[in-house]
Amino acid sequence: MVIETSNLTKNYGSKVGCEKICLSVSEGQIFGFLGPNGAGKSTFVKMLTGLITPTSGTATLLGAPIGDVFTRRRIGFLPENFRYQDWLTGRELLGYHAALAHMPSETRLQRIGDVLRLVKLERAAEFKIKTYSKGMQQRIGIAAALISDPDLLFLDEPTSALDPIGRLEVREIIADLKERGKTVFLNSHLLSEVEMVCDEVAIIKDGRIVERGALNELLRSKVEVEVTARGVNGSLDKQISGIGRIVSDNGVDLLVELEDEDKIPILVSLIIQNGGKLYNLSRKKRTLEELFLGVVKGGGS
Amino acid sequence: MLTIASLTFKEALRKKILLAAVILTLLFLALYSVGIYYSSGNDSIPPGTTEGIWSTFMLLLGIYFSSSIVSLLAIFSAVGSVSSEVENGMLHAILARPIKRRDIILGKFTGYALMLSCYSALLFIAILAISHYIGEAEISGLSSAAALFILRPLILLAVTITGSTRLSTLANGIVAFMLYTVGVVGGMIEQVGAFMNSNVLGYIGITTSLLMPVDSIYRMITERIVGLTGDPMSMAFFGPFGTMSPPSNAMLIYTFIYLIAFVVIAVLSFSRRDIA
Repeated sequence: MVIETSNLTKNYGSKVGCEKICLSVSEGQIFGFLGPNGAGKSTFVKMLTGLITPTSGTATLLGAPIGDVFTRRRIGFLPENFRYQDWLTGRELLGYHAALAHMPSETRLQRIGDVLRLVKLERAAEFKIKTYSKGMQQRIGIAAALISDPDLLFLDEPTSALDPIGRLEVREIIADLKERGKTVFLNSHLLSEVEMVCDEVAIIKDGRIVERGALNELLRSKVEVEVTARGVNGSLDKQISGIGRIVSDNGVDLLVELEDEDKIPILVSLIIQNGGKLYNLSRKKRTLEELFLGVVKGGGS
Repeated sequence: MLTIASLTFKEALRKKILLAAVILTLLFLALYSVGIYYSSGNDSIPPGTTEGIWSTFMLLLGIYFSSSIVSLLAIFSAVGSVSSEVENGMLHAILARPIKRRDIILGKFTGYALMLSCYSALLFIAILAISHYIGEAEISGLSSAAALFILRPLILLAVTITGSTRLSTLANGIVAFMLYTVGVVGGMIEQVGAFMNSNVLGYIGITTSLLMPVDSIYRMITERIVGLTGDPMSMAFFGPFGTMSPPSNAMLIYTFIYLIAFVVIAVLSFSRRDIA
């Protein structure tokens, strides 16, 4: 496992930052870490990146205990509240981070050029960072995180200041990293972004993990179908109680939640057997936003 | 550590901290030169004094205020060295790099110390040159005095960086400046105590010097340059700039230990701090 935590806990006095977080992220995964504001996302990332010390529990990154300085050569980090030495030029900042990452001096220039091209800042490389727009500053932050070609990359809200094109480009960067077998731990509020790039997600609420798993499985775990039927005799509600429940009904259109996808043909049979005419039946795809809101507001999936 | 040190030094240059200090220092030196020039003629010397006393007085005045300038530069340049970078998030990306926190503190200390040492040495030489060539002051013990002159801001630098690892920038600035003031005032009280043979005032001065040994260093500098040790006339002529009770060599050793201790405390304090 690239990231493995066991009962990782951080308390700030009597306030819980994170509580008994057990999480595993395997190599080559794009892992989404979601949660409402103040849920403990950044606290968790800060523990992993060595900014804060856990109150209890253990964790390893790339097989080494968190805090291991040597392992950090293989880690990149874009903090949420990114701020860089704005009196440096973009190129100087990357040179500085390359030096801090102990990159061999003979490969630095080439790598700096590569990441500047990757984040599309070649033309602004010689300008001071204080002249950069917010989006450009986020790009140079991503470039700094990528400078050492890390095996594990922590991105805390990497697209918060970017326009749609910038977001697309960051998604492409993440996809490219995945192709190269890198692992990305992504903190983001932008659920649609997470849905597009992540293999697995975990949702944290009040410092505890309340949902986690492969994104596809989480979104498939609940089967909802939209049904348009007319002329059904009696109450369909009672008849389908054994296979699911009606979530909404306006007389013609129904939204039905079923226990699993094998119950879809049974639902069709019930409608026909009760004299109904079926005009439409479509499986509703659950979005990450629905999953997230269900978990965060409802306290479970 | 060297990467952090070079960045710190570069920051001082790029942010024009050193440039502003140099420009204002040139103004100070010009003012000082004019003062020395017009006070060094025989006609301007008050009755009962000699030209040698006045040139020494002006030399001590120059050393006193130039060392104050260097001290304040040390405090103000380092007051937010850690705290402001924690507050604005600049340190977050750096701390995730393969670098020990110890190296960040030592790097910052080295960078600022290099800047302050260069500045202090040049300022000290300028003051002595003006005093000697315009004011015709007699100067001795130049190298050891220069070393002590450089040491003084380094002590304040160590204290200020230590405070910056735990306090907010504003609180740290207030604490560092107050400590500096206590050290200076306490040192003067000790000199007055020596002049009046007051043990109480002497103990107060020694205690404050142990708390913040900046004034004792000034006394060591003046002792080496103009050799005023134990001279009762020193206080009468030179007021707070003169030295009646020079610090012992033990105080010098204590000062070095004090400096190293604060650097170690800064390292330990920052190493254990959560960067939330």
